Amino acid sequence: MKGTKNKSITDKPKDFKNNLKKLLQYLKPYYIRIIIILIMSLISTIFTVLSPKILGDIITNIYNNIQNHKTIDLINFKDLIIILIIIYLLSSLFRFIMGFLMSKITANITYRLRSQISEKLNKLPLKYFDNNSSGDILSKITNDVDTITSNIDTIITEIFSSFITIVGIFIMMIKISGWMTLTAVATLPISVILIFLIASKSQKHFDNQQKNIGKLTGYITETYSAHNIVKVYNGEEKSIETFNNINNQLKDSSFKSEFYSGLMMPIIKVIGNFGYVIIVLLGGFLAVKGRINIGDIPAFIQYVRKFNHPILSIASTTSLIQAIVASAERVLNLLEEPEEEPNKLNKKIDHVKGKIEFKKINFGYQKDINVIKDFNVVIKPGTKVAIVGPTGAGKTTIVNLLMRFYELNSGKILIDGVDIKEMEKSYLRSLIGMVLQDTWIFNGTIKENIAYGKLDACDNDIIDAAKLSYADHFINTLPNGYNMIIDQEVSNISAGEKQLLTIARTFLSNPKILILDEATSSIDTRSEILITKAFEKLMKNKTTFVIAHRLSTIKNADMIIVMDQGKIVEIGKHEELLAKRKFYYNLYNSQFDLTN
Amino acid sequence: MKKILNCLKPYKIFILIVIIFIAIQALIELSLPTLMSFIIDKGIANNDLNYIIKIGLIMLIIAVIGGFIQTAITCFSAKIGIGFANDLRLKIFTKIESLSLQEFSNFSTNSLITRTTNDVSNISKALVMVIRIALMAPIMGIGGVLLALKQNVSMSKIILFGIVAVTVLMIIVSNLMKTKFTRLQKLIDKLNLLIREIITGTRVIRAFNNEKYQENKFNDNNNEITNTNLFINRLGVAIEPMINLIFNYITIAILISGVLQINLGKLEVGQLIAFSQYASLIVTSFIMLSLIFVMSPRALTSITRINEILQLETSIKDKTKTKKMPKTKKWELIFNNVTFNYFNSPLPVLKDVSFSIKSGEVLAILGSTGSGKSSVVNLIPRLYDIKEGLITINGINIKDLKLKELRNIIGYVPQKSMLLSGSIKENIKYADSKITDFNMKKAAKVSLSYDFIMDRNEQFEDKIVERGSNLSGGQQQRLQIARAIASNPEIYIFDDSFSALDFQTDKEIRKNLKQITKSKIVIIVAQRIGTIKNADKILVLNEGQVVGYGKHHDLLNNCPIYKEIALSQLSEEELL
Ligand SMILES: Nc1ncnc2c1ncn2[C@@H]1O[C@H](COP(=O)(O)OP(=O)(O)OP(=O)(O)O)[C@@H](O)[C@H]1O
Ligand SMILES: Nc1ncnc2c1ncn2[C@@H]1O[C@H](COP(=O)(O)OP(=O)(O)OP(=O)(O)O)[C@@H](O)[C@H]1O
Ligand SMILES: [Mg+2]
Repeated sequence: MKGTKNKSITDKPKDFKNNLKKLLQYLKPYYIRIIIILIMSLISTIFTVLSPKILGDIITNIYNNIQNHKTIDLINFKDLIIILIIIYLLSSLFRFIMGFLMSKITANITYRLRSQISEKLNKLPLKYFDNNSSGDILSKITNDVDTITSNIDTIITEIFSSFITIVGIFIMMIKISGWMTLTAVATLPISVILIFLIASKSQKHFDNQQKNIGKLTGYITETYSAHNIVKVYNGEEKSIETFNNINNQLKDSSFKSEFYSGLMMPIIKVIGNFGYVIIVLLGGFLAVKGRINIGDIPAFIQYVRKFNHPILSIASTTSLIQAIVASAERVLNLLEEPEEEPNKLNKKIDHVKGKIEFKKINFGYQKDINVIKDFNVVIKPGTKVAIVGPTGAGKTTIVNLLMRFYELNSGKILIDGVDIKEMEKSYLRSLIGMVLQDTWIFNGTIKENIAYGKLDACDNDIIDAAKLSYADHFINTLPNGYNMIIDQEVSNISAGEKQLLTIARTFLSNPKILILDEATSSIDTRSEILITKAFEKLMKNKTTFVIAHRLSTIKNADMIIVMDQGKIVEIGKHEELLAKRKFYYNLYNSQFDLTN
Repeated sequence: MKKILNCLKPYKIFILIVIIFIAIQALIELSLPTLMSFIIDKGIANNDLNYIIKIGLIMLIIAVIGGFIQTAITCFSAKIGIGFANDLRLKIFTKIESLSLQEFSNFSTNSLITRTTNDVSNISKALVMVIRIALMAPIMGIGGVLLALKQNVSMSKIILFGIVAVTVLMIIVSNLMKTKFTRLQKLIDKLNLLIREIITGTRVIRAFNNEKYQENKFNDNNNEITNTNLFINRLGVAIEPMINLIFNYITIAILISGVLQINLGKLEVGQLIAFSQYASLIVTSFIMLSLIFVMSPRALTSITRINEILQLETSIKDKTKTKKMPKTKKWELIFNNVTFNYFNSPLPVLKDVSFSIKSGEVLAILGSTGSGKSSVVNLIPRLYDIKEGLITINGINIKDLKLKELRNIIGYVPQKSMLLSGSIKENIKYADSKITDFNMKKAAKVSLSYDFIMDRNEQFEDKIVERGSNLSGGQQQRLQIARAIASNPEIYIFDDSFSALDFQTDKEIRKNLKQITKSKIVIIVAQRIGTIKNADKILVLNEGQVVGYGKHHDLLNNCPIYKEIALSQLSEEELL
């Protein structure tokens, strides 16, 4: 994050080029089609120039005939008219085919960019999501991708045909007068330099515009998701104010980018008109001096006007390119984010017993703050281990590390003697079932949400899992039972019910190693006891980690690890730890100590 | 529609200016060639260098003026388009902020997001287009048609035929597009949903190795969006060549019929040339119009979608005649036979719930999962409204109070932690940025957040990320409690908000709270008997009904469900 600021000052032009280059890579698979498109655009440009001429010929012909007082015989023009009919048909057809092909190409690129981003999101380290707002990512995948692909086709065809036109007209002009051509072309470098100058000035506004759209989407997303807090704390006015700020920033940057790119056209046009006038003057001068034919002047001037046209259209595509590059930078940055550390090896465990060794692990989310310090413990296979400790001690962090959501700073974690770093992540995660502290439910039916633990599960398995987690009862009271659709945002089931569903998921997946991170914190204690029992049955002879504050659920653990501030302070069984009369003893007794 | 158009009002003058400028610009464009023909016809023909230079200078001046005018046009139309989008977005956001949770779930959050962003930009893009083209095209087109009609009626039929053909074509195309655009916006809503799903569910998705499943789900939607877009774009690219073709053929038809008429002596060649020029004028204007036809269904769809939002009237709002909030330190909250069901299901989740609580008392709500505890407390700040029964504060129906004043006296800690990205300070001071640093720190200390805040790199300025995910579960809960305390409410609502805390922290926080809530109403939803044992009143809920109401010891004797819950946590002796 911090790096980008410096980069934007020094490496901007290089970035611009690089991003454009990378973007062109996306066109590569379609080069045959693009060549076809370009050829068609060439032909159709020629037709566009040709057809008025043919039409003109016909009219001149008629005119001459009339001058000579002949009746006009249509048969004389038959050929020309047929040619015209064909040319019109072909140029429309070509234009249509070009558009048709180009739409497919841009559609494919849109699809590819979006699906690449979605795949990327699944590979990014969790850290990335700590630093980037979901709305900003959202804006990249919708707005930025749209900006890129909705303009790319215009650019390809426009630039090419402009270039062809310039060359063609240049040739025609030279044929008439070298001197005058020189004057006409002299304005070209001025135009080009100005285009570049304005473009380099305005690029940052385009960048800002896209950034601000992301920021705005981020703010909207977050505020809408926290609607109940906004309501209860009367935060409406405040959020409207913040929104208004960002909205105005967006307005500002949009206006600036629009203004600069809008400036381009008039300036180029004025320069063109300047050239035009000078040509007229020069032409007049030369004609007066008798150096050229009077008759050539109108024709030449026609060409000068036509010559200005493609330059104008290049100027207007520049702003499209700028918008594209601004968006491309955001999208490409996301796609180039470093991914989760790849696996060096893909070791597997033959027969999972569930011995887990934490060897001197150290870890911190931020650079200089260590959250886990020298965590060192061996867990016997098939045992139930409880991790307890005050909030913020680092319990969830241990789970994050075991699942390799975050990478260790130092130390090792071994499962049955195999370093988890030497396993495929997906393999490691397939061994472990996990119920997390904060429940995640997605929009979909209850059935789909449970089946998330095992995608190919049949209905019976799902219902069994729901029964084991005591979710079956409440599901049956719902209007549509298992087919009721749950809303992720405006949760239409209670918090505890959500938690039951996530537990059912884990029952369904039947893991080799189980982690329960405050899995039952929102569930009433009666159900909790039943669920705990069911878990015990499921995890018989399998290793289980339980993180819980309700110490009743962990009393019977084979081993209790007491953590504080990222360190292990005590290890042992319930009775042993109580006997020590230290940390655990205090923790445990505080639940009975009901004095105020 | 009217509401959206209202956003254009401030730009009336700009729009007028732009129209005038466009007309001037057209004149300038035409005048340059005319002046040039003067140079040729008069200047060169007469060998008059002075004349040539004079006219040349005039041309230069006009060119520069033209440049300024065009700059002004782009500047103003950008102002209109961007300003309009800006205003409209603010209007929508403001509207949405006023909505209650009920309307929220009717639309779903993703759709609301798309409507505030994507739909607005669709409309504003179309607007700029309309201003720049639509105004120009009809002037040209109608002018061309009128001039053409003047020239020769029999040939005008040909043009008329062309116009009819093009109009029919456009109507067909825009209708074809319309349904597609409605579908497209829905798909974009869904795209939002799926992306946010991936982002919020990262851990679960990875834990279950369901990345592929998620990607497939996303790509199904991606595919449909792409195909819908492709269909729309292809229709769009088909229009222009088709119109072009129609009019080019019409030109040929004019030519042929012209020649026939010339032969009959009914037409002059000059007329024919003029006529075909008018025809080409009409062509260009229709091509421009066709562009608008391509844009308009998209804009219309978005207009409809935004209208749906702007038209909404929130169901929970101030009455026209509100009652004054009593100025007192003594409060009493009463639930009287409250029956409540969520709008999307007919079954009541609360049935005949009654209780009362006064300043200085603690009410605990206990009950099994899904028994309606959260529903009860959500009714107090009117997150939802009841239809049957009565909720009063100091004898006043809460529906008669100003929402803002009602919510001002409530400190609500929701069950699901909900922190906003920003500094810790901003979060604690969320209720009112005027809260003093002293009070903020006090709130942090009471909620036992102070120590861990001071341990962070930038203490109170330290950044919290979206959904508070760079904090532990317990830390999130404590900050939420701090937020409620800092707002200095009269009614505290804690919805299971100690669940992620260890017992020791739980106990200490409650001890601290006791100090500051001495003369306040405190409502605690909890599962732990320890947390609620000493409450003045305990309300036991089961399937939405009150099955016990009283003190710990009474309930142990007369409420079997309460006893069951209690026994599931502590042994018989421990309970006493
Ligand atoms: N994503 C993150 N980025 C930065 N810091 C984090 C992140 N997640 C957790 N922390 C910090 O790491 C420390 C340990 O957090 P952890 O979630 O492991 O605690 P815990 O023991 O599970 O607590 P609780 O019982 O409250 O859930 C806390 O101080 C927390 O603020
Ligand atoms: N927004 C909603 N729309 C429809 N039904 C809902 C909604 N919220 C909750 N419910 C239903 O209402 C019932 C009561 O929910 P509530 O959240 O009040 O339970 P709770 O007692 O707080 O449970 P928990 O202990 O799990 O938090 C549940 O059966 C739930 O499915
Ligand atoms: Mg609840």
